Amino acid sequence: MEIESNTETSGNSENGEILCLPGQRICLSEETTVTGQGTYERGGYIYATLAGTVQVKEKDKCKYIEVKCAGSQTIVPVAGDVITARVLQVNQRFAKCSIICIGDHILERTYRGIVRKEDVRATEKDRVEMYKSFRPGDVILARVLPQTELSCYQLSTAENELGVVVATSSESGPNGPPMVPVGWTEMQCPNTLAKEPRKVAKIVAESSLKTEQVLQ
Amino acid sequence: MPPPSASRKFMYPEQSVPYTVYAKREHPDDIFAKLDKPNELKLEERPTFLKVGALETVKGSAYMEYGKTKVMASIEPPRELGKQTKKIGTLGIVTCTLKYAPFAVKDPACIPRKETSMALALKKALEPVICRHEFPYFQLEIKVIILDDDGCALSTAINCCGAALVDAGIATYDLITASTVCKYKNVEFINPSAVIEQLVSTISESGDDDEEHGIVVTASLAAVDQITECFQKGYLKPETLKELTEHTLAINERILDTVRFVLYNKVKQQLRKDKDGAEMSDTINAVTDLGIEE
Repeated sequence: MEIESNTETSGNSENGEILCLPGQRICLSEETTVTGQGTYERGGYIYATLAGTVQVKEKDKCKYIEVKCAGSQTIVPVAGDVITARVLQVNQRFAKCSIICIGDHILERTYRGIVRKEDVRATEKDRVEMYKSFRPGDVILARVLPQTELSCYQLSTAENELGVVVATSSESGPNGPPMVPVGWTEMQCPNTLAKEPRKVAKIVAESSLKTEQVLQ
Repeated sequence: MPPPSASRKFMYPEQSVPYTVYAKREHPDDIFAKLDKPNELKLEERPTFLKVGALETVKGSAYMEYGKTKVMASIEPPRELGKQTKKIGTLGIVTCTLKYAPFAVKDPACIPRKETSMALALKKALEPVICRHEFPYFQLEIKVIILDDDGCALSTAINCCGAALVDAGIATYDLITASTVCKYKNVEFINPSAVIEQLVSTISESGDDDEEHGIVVTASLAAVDQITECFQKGYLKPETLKELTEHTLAINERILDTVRFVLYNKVKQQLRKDKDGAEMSDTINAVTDLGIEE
């Protein structure tokens, strides 16, 4: 596989990196090449859809052709993404949230999402109490579920690594210090030592989260 | 009418009338006689200036000067569709808002009509180039303001939007370029000025039916070899239309060079910035590590 780089037009390689623009032919599409993010396949060739640098990643004998966007790319949440959201409203059946980040990409505009009661945790789903899991103002990590309703993203925190990440106790208010997790279901305020129930997330490296995907 | 957010973004007085409105109108033939006609056909673009990322407040933007025509395009981050919208599909929706600055044209009465027809043509030209499957259930809003119109406003708007889309990091299948050619009294004008465009659009009143007159705007994608929009006005024979379209495609190719050059520079600049940022954070990390060891 050879990556085409027409250097004569504008010297489009810098420090060994290959630059590309939308519509630029990157390489031949073969059995061992996979079109990654920022590329598409057409007529036996792989083309770029973003302006940025070409990156080739090898995995399982396949070459993943990707284009890393220069600057920030415009993306929207899709099923399987891990997102960061702020809880706005909690009632007995669901919690309304606004999605603020996808992975490490900060969104320009927040999107609506809801966590249903049955998607809060994986076990004992029928004994979940929403008020003991989330409170308005909490920052949560959640995974986007396949979209069934048009107007709203459905989120799930039914994994050990997902749930409340940042929360302040109701006594010290929104400007209080963030609480410290003291168990799977409890967080403690460092000032008042008051304990509050939450669906606590076990914070892990991002890489261990990315590998598992929701089956669509 | 644009949404209220659009009028907030582009502030200018709504009520203003240029002095030329009160001037005496000349007969179209007299105007034509005064025009300098091209001696030979040169398939060239006008002197062009293009700047991407011209606005700081929006996700992606571009400012383009094509001769004396000045256009600004801005792209908003994708918006969720409301509950009422019944158009359920897996492709995102593109909406274009095009506004003329009141001082851009000599005859402000034609602005609303031009705005709607050009916004439609712009939408048709841009829809095929955007990877709409990446924004299901979302609405992408593209806003254009024409600051000065000396002909070729639509094609310049398309060029400008193409650059703005790339600046916004929105996935597109290709780079889009467009150009304008018109024919009047058997003379072909490449990149017609506002005077000629005005002449071409007013001729129908004179009653001379046999004469070919018309304007052609073609937007094309070079790499995938597609025409996304062919906007034609007036009366042209099929052969002439074919010839004019071929001429616009040749000019598109030349504009593409400019667009490519500008975008490559932007990518290079961004990479340099990223590299500097990475070096900076490395230094900070190194310093903090030292501090912990001590």
